[in-house]
Amino acid sequence: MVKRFLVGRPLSTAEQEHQRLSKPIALATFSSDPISSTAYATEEILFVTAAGTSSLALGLTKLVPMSIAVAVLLAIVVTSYRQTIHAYPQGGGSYVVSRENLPGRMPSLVAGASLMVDYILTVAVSVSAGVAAILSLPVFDGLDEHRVLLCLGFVATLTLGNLRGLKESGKIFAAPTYVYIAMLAALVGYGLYRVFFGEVAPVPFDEHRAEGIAEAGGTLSLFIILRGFSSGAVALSGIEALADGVPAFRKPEAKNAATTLTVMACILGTLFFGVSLLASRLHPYPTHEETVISQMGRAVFGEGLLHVVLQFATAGILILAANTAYADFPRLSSIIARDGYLPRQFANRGDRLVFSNGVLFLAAFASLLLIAFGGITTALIPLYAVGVFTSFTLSQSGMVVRHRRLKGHGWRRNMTLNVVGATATFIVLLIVAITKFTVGAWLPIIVVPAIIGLFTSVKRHYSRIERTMTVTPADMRRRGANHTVVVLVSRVHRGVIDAVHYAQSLRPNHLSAVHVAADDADREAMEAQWQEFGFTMSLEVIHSPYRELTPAVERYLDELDDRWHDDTITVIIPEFVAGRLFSPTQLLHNQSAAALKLALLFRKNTVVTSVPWHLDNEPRNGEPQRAR
Amino acid sequence: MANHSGLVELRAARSYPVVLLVSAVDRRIIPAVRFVSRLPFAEARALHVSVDPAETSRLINDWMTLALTWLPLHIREAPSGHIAGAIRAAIDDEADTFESVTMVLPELNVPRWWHPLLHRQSARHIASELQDVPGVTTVIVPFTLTDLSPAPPATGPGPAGGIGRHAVD
Repeated sequence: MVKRFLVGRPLSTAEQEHQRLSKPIALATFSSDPISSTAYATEEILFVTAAGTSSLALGLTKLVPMSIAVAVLLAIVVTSYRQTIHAYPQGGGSYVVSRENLPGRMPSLVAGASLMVDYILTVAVSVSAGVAAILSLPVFDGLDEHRVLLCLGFVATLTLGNLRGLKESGKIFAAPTYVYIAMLAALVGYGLYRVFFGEVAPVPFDEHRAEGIAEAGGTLSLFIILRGFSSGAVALSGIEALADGVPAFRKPEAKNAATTLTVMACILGTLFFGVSLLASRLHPYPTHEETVISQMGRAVFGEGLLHVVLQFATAGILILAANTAYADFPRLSSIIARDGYLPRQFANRGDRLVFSNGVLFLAAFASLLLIAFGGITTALIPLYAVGVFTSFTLSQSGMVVRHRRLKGHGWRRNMTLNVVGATATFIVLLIVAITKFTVGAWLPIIVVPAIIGLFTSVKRHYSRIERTMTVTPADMRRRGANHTVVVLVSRVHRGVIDAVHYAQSLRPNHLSAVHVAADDADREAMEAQWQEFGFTMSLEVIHSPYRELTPAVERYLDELDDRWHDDTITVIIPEFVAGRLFSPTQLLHNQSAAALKLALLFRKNTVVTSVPWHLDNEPRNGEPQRAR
Repeated sequence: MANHSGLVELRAARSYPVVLLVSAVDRRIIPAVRFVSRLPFAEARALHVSVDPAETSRLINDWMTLALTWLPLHIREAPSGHIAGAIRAAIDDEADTFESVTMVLPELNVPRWWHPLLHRQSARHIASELQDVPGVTTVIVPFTLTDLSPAPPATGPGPAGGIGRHAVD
């Protein structure tokens, strides 16, 4: 009941078709992840290159070239991924593409593990950046110490929304994406206009607020520049999710998805470049107290409504970005589970056609990361990019192999595109892994192999079970079997009469009724009642002075086992089912029976049969009501 | 009150429907099939709720190989994955002819404490789902797995030719 109330009623398959996303909604759902990274990517570059007074100016000069490099990388990856979308309209995530094309299972497992880690990080990074955007507003100055709590609140809200279904969540969040795109475009456009044609003062540097940020030193080495570039490269993270989510689009899925990808890349590239250009003029500085976007917003719009709208739109799109991972993490884990590398519970479609176990798993780990890193975006960023670029490289290498194998129309040209993509992303992967190893990139380098270890041990278990459980027709032959049936009786009521009839209809080799008695009075009362009803079946009474039902029954069954050398003992439990929900009588009647049933379910060769008796059917008077 | 024993004979002579629920053909169903085969007046049938067409066609194949002529297989679709709903519909159909139905649910008991993380204990969930349906008796027949070594090759085709090479829930 509680689940139904929170999650909603189950959907039929016909309704599932209507859950498909139109292009504008899909753009909001899938593109929010990459586009939202414009809210923190520039800032993350500055955190690396421009921390401290001495290097701020130096870092700002490198911002524009770096954002050009990221934009070029974006163009390469998007061109390459358009091919994947057309080749895999059923959803061409890196896991599937490397499974289908690359030799052995290992590449796909690496891709799967990297992506799982990355989806978790998408949630953690986006939520923390969204909270940072809200905390940048002067009104919420006092809330700083509740940063982690706010993050967890957002994760909880998202989790509930997603348990209720994909499209509903998409609709709720579609508006903030477009508001954010409009607001950021306004910031960049109006800001640049004022920079070049008007008067706007650069953001005043506040030494006190910038305190506590790691010093990069006076000179800007190539290593630091590459590390800054690695931070900027996280902007590409959401592309994989779109390729994986092609089946969520309306028909023709592949064409719509490819168009959405291109539109998204253009918006992302323009905004990212614009923000970086504006930042190089306005000189914002990185601090945990106010985001770079907020600083520039205040410089351009002034402290007013527009600034507030900008910050809330930023938080909105970041929350929606986290939502992207919610749509795709369960999808990915269900594909992996169906291949037998994750517990089968992840392959389950939940009540609302969302893979609810995956959603809960994602929420749990994202919350863990947010707590561990105090909800600080900058601390999470180095963990982030490794997985993205690992999966990019594998996916595009897979596409290269695919082109060579299929040799379809224009395969040389398409293969070249994927070769360029694979090479570029592999180089970036190396840059990220090397420059960020000491500041956190080591974590995925340990966690990903650990997940792969988990995958293979789960698979090994399923394979062993599969071999063990193989059956032959000979196993099914009827055998002369020894069958004993035991009816458990606490007192005689209509349910017991039904159960006795049922037991007799089974025609077992041995049949008896069993009563667990606390004392002699109890025993005599029961025997008298049994006589009175004139049952032909024999009644055995076992003593259990402390009214311990389960162990007494188990001892009795062991004894029967020895006596008859049974193949099977069937235990019949007459059960009350009260008509009304939450009826206290149901609880009273069935609590001991439920505990007993649970214990017997684990007993070898013991069949547990529940014969229900619906209390509604019981006449008010004239029935035996003697208590036990 | 004394006329209850007369009622016993009357009831016992009548046939009643027994439905064995199967999700896949493997050793888990051996004790359940034997249990059903021993019921003297049972109108026995096997019921498979189809969630995945590929799984179902494999099941049909395996079932044919078992050659259980006395136990016909019924298939019911539940494409949305709502298994309990499909079972209830099957029970409703039986209720047209009979006043009570016995549902036999095979259950796999796994040897290690962490195995339930990897296997859905579906029988007991379905049993509790069916508890409030009038006239339904649920029977859970366990298959207890003590270790994970393969079964000794029985007569007939060896393990390679055996049935049930599929994912075990």
